[in-house]
Amino acid sequence: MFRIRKIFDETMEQDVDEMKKSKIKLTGILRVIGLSAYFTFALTPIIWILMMSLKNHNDVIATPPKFIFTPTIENYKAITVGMKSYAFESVRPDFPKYFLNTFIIASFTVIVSLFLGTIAAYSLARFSFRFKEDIAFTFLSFRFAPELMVILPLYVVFQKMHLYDTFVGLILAYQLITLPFLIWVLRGFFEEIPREIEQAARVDGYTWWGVFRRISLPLVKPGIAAVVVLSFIFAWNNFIFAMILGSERTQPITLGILGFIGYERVLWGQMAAATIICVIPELLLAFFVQKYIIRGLTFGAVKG
Amino acid sequence: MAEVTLENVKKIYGRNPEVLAVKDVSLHIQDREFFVFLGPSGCGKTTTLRMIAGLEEISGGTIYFDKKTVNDLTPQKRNVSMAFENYALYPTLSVWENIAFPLKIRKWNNDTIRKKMEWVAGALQIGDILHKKPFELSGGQQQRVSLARAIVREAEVFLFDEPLSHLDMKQRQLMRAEIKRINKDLQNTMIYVTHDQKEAMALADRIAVMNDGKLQQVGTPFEIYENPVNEFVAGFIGEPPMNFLNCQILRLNDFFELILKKQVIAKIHQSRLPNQELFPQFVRVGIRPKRIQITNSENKKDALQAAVIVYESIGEKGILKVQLLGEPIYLITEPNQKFSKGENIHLSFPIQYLFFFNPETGERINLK
Repeated sequence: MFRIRKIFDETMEQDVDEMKKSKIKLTGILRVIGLSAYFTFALTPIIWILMMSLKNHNDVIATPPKFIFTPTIENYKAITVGMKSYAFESVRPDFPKYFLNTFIIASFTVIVSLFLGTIAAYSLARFSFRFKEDIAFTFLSFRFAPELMVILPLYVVFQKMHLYDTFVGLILAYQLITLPFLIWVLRGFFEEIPREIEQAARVDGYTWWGVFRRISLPLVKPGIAAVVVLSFIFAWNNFIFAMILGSERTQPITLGILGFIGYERVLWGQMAAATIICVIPELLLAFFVQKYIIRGLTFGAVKG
Repeated sequence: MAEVTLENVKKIYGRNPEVLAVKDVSLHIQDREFFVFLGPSGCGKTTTLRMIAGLEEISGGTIYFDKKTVNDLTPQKRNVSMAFENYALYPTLSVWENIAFPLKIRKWNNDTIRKKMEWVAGALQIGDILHKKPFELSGGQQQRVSLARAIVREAEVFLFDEPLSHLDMKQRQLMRAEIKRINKDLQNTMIYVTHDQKEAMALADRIAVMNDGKLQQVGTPFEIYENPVNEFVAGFIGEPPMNFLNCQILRLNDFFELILKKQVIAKIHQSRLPNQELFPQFVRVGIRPKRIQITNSENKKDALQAAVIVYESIGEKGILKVQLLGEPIYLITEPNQKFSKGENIHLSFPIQYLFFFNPETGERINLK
């Protein structure tokens, strides 16, 4: 009898606890639902493309869509080594070249931006000079001006200056995308550094340049990591500049992928494979510096 | 170790040459002197210090170290060291690295650095936190580290910009004593900026009082306290501050009577007045709280009646706030005296302790 009583009490207590817990549980469940919804939204296209890249052509165009199929790596082979294994072979086996082009353009774009941008950001953060805010705003305006608005005049200029379809030309044009972003983010970071730290270093015996290199730059490392990755992704993904200002010689992947839309048909499988390969460097980069990106982008926000 | 001379030093911020942060400051700081710039916030004292350090451009005038003009030298070339108000420690470096930083830049060899570090760690009692990072330290410890970094170098001049302002009262007093001791040990020229008059009085060989970008008075703590040149200096030094009363002056035979709201508060014999024609009709009369006498008898001549507003006993002394003819006045009293609110007391103002100031210019008027 006593034992039954005890068990009863325990269950009662449990019920009260359950009620408290259920509230916590409910928010937990909602959170999971919310996150799953976003996850599905964000990942479905990628998974869809991944599946497409592993299907043969008939599976790709099948209706209703096939979820169960025999995976094949033919698409990857076709775009990388250009192997002709079945009837509708790749018409553009120069995909590796596009990949390399993208890599060259994006990397050098970021390097140039980083070099010019850190110095510009530091100057805007630290020095006072005439038209400072106007200059800063001009940089920002590059970012919100529609690319299409500047691209045609730029095309004419590039033609005249023989920059059309050159890497140098494209890297210069890409600065419009990466430089303003980099300057504005890094300016915020430099402004976060207390002036006195730099002044202390000057009194302690560094030159202006020494202070910048040894004290300020190391302190904005997280910011630099964040902007480098994001700039790289922006540059990597750009389409319009490359389309108008570049041609056969400098074409990046974003344009190369267009080539899979042939005269007779669309090579969906190869296009998907190309897309997947194209995404990999961005994913890797983001994965490795993720820690810095989060810290970098929330730097100003969470600092108490 | 160096003498520092300022000659008509000016600082203009922005484009308007009329707005001066520092106005024509000229002074001479001797070798090995502990020199304090004292003044309220915004008086230009920190700007002056920063111009000496080379962190702020000099808009006009000249600064010399010994006989050498340093106007155009960078802080690096001036060979000064400085402790900042908010410590300015390098966040990524440990305490040890922070302090050794200026020595490493100067390429001292490791043995010398280690010896110097031992000395400074002992002097400022930071031996146990040398391996820590600045963010792990308390305010007081960061403070010590910042001082250590400033004094570890063999600089021409040591500069301190309100280094104790973020510490609590007790720590401030401890560090004050510490700094004084280090100054005696090092025998170095030290220039110190503070808004705390007690700190200035305790530390300084000489004080320069500044207000509104202008140098008001330079002198030893004693001179500044006993012989202020104007109303600002008189009112800035001393806690509670000097009392000021607006008085009219009326001549009665051989005497000049100081009249506050129709009551005579003191009389001056005419022979003591410097220049009777120049002596204005109205003066500001100042008297230090501890110099006002409380008299017992009511019928004593010149005794003035006042009502107690607040009485605070702080142990070694009492601070009394009274209302005298509608004017609030502070007194410092003996600890054994007790007062209650509303109580009437009688005061007298001994003539030898009165200060006179021109009500328009604030300049001191000296009696003979």
